[in-house]
Amino acid sequence: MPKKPLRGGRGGRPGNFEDKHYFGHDYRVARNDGNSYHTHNRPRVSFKTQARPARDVPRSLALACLDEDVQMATSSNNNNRQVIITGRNRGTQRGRNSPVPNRRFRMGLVPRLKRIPLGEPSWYKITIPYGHKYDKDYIINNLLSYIAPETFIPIMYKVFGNEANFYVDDNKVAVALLECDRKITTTDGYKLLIKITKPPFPQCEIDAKLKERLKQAMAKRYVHATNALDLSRFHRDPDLISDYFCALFRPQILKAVLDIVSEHIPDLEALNLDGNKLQIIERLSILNQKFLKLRILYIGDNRINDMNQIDTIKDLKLEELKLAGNPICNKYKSRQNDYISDVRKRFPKLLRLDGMDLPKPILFDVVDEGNKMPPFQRMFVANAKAQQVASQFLQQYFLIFDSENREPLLDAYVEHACFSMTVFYPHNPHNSNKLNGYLMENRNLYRINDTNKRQKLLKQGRLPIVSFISEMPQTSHYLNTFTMDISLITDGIMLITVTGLFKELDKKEQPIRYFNRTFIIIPEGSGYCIRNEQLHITQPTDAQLKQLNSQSEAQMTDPGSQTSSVSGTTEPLPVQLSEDVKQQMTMTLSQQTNMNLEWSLKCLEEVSWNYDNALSAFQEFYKRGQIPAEAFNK
Amino acid sequence: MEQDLKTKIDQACRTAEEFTKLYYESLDKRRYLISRLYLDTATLIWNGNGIEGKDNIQKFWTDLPPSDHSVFTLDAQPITGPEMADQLTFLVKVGGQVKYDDKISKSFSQCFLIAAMGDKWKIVSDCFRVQEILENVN
Repeated sequence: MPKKPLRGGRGGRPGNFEDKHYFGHDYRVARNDGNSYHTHNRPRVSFKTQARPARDVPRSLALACLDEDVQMATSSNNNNRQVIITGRNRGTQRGRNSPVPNRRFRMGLVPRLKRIPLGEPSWYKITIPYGHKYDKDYIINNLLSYIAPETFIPIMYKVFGNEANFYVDDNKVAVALLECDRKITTTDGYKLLIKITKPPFPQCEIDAKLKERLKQAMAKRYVHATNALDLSRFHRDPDLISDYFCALFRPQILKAVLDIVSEHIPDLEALNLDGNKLQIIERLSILNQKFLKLRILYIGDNRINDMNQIDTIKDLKLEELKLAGNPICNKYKSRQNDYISDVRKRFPKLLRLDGMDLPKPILFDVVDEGNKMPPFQRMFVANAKAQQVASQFLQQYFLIFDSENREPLLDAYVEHACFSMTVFYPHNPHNSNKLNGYLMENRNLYRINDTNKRQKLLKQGRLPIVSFISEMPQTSHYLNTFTMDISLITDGIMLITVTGLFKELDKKEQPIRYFNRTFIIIPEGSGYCIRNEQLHITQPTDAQLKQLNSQSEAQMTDPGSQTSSVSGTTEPLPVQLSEDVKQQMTMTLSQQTNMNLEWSLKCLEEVSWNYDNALSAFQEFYKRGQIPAEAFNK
Repeated sequence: MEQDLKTKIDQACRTAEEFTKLYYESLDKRRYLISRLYLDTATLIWNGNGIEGKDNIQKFWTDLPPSDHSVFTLDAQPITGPEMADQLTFLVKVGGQVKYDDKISKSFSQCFLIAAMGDKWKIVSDCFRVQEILENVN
């Protein structure tokens, strides 16, 4: 991508068009360095192309410019043939749409003083009739050399029929290109025709293909070490420019891009959105919700007009901001202190603004609440022995609970055990799977005031409990989502709380549920039994579902990892299973597969006692008819 | 005996109602007094972080960002049996939503073991979990 280093210093062709003025109004008062610039103040005339009324395309451009200016110019001067007389000592003064680049101040010492009218078009379509005859590079290089030192990057260069089309993102470039019309003689002796229009923004469907391209383009713009993403001048990205006009000033594209970023780098700390022609930055409010860790934001060289617009992003806890190069900065040009203070009002913790260090803010000595949350842990168990007991107990319990027959759980409860259940269904528009099936048994004391009803909903005794849980939907628990906390360990009792996700298998849509289940277990004989149990069921969050889906996808695409992912993520469970558990697993497998105990045992041993793997191995071989008949002899 | 159990169930429910009201009010508005609800040797497990002893629990809660709990479900059972002897002990389970200073509502569930110590109810153990995804590293 040829990029000329300098855009300033129009040494090239004095007197050609850089000294044209279209309007008498000029806000560019700061352009008073006046020494290296043209100081001749002869009357300016308007577009040369106005003299060619037969060609309506240039006129439409001129009219487009005119329209925009009429909106803005308070001194109503809509005669674009206006002759302009500039005063002395004011250097070169030009109308807003003057093609003369104004980039002399670009290097950042002084905020860019170029005044960009509201609504200045951000794109033009350049059409080259008969452009199909020539190579893209040939055309572009010719144009570049003609308009030098002005430079441009063609966006979406395409040939349709015998026309070549592309877009440019800059008003001055459009004017300069227009100047090339019929100026360049091609190798075959014709003059190159150039038409410029201001069509609606080229349609850009945000489909999977584009998203993939966006991801690729962004990947190279991300710096892992600093957790920073550079999206400056994104629509000029060389990976996108030939096929797409990915302008972040288009709300849909901005949203699509930020969605991808938040999905892949939710912890992003630095984002550069310089030079994207952003005007309505209200749409950046999405940053507040999605990027809680964002500390550095560059939105320089855009079209932000008013400090109040910045309020949309003031919830970001920014430490560094770049705003230079926006029209907003012009308003403060002689009031640097006001500028800093108005920005700091929005971002009290800001330490750098436009590359300058700010004096450290003086804050009240209150607790910095940002970092106080302790990280979440999967498990808390004070005692290794208790962990082993609890893990074995739970593994066995959920193995039977997830089997087709929950009756063996009779042995898991003491005779006078208690069980109750509560259900909570937060309003979640994304999750239509109501928990209706459980509501009849919801022992929510805030809803059930009647003493008898409260008594009745508390299942007392092992038989009522097991018959109740036998009627609950068939389930499959995701052991890799489990958490386990043991909050009380005495000689007599142990208090275990487990949370996690399970799937209901009965219903067609197989809904996923979140549960929190507390068991009080006491020693009984050689093992442990449940004395009290409270089950709480609710819906999973979107984030939980997403994580679950990504985990199961990973398992499906990599069958080799299945063993390790199942046994590897069920950390709380000990690798060594007791003989009791093994026996129980063997029996359950035998019940489920109809194989006899000997073969069930063999099967489980071969998969190192991973029940799920045993079951899937069985199904696999059964389908292939490779299980001998003797396996089913009982 | 059966009548006795019924009484205990009723008492568990009523105590749980009163307890949760007091507990969440203290936690959200008068957190500096929260430790008075705990037994000296109580255990708090907050999202897998274990804290033991009343004073440590007070410090933990004090350091946590301000909270706003809304409680939607409540359930309570008496814990009976010979190992409890005559000690009145209830198991309480709460479900609701909590906001910290990020102002995002998250579902939580919490389980308490509360016991009568003389004429005061005290928390023996308190186990709190926000419904959130866990990274596998933890």
